[in-house]
Amino acid sequence: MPFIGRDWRAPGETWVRTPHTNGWERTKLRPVQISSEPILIPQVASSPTLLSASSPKLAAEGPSLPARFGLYDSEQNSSCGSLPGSTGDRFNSSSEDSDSNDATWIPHCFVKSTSKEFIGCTSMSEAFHRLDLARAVNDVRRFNFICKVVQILVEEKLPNLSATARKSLLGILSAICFRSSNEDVHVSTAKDLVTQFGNGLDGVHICGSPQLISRHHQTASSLLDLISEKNVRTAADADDETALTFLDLPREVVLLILKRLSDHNSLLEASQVHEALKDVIDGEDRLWQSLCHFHFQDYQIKNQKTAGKSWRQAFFDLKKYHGCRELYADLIHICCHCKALFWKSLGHPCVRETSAPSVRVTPRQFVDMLIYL
Amino acid sequence: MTDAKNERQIKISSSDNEIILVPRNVIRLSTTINTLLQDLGLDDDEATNAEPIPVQNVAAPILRKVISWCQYHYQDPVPTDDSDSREKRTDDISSWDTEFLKVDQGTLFELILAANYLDIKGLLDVTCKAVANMIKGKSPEEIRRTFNIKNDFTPEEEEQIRKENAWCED
Repeated sequence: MPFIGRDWRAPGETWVRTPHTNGWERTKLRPVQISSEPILIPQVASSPTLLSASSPKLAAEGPSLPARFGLYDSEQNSSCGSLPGSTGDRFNSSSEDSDSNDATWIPHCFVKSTSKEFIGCTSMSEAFHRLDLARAVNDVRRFNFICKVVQILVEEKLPNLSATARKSLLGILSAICFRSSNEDVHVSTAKDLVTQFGNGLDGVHICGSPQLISRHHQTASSLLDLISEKNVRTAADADDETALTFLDLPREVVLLILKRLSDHNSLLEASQVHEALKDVIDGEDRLWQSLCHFHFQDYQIKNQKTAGKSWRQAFFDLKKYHGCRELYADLIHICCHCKALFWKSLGHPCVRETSAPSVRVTPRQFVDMLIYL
Repeated sequence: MTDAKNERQIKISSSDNEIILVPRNVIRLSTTINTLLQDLGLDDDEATNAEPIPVQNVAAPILRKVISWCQYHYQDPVPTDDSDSREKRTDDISSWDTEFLKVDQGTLFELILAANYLDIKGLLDVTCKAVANMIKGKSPEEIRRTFNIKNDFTPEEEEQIRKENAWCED
């Protein structure tokens, strides 16, 4: 029997204007930015309609933005207004009813197959859209996986990316930066990623016109500005003199918190923050012991941990031999039945529903899969 | 635990003397109070305890937040896998907890202290993870800014620590 997916027909060839790419896109690439919370990408004006975005900082915080998105929404509506049937209905969803739309839509994407009745994903940017990577950044459970994917891409694969793929990558990077700066998390990680991206653009074998590359350069540097400059939230916190601060916590509680750091870098960075923290991190070998048990198997530890050696030293020795473990709360799986890539926690529409077996896809495998698509 | 007890309410009073009623099997999550009730034989009595249990270290607003967390989580299954690997999975926070933890730093630290005092493992775990996430992926200067900590190292000391840390790496 031939394979029949749940919806084997093409969703149509309608084109809509999308705010985030500053251009037209096929509707079947469900645009990431059709959402109640659009992710704004600071972009240098390249068309008259985007004039208000010419200053990226303005784009990031200016109150003029809802209006801008309103403009796009109305354009979208009018462009879809004459469409018959379900496709039109689906994309008439502007910000108000996109929530209900989201409820039924599960991000997933089929890998290319030989079957003609079956629409596989054909490019990296499409896969990014379909798996909703840019919005998934805001989910703490998926953030680390996406960061790792982005890290691999910006460190090694920039020359392999098409200009469109790079555009999508930049979209994800922007989402990471916005989250970092808004929630004050992983600031250095975000900075590193953007810096790497910027450096990678200087390479010789980069796709795209010089104009496009310089535009990407500018976006990257404005993203860097965005994460470097601000820290409004913590400043507000500091105003309240009576509130508890980190250093008011008893040592045992600080130890509990530090025990939850899963990598040595965070511990070493934390030890440089303050004498009190350095004291805890240098004094408590238990911290390093639990780190060892987290990353390595008992038999590996037995080989490296000798009587005279501290756990801290043992950790770095073990790391040298075996490398650290990578764990993600949520990651991409591939369904063995319908060959769909999907987020493990969200599932995917599959004819075999939940019974189909699936295999996890590590960030590196994911990147390799998309590069050679 | 029988069904009758499901309905049973326990009175607890906060540090500012506010009395709060909590269902018995919700407050079970607090090992401190649970043990107290068992040890004092208060569980033999089917009625609500006449004298509220004093929770001296926790103010009413925080206590109410703690109880709302317990109310959401009291039916959770007890996690079975080993705690060492689970406690380091700082990204493994449910979306309800993520929303719950969207509070200012002062409140977050109060919650940690309350969870520590009342010995509520799950809450302590998730709040510590939230703070750990504020530390991860940052430079020392950024961590200081986050927690509003003054740098008490001299430049020489900083250089010294950097050297020590670099030595670890090779």
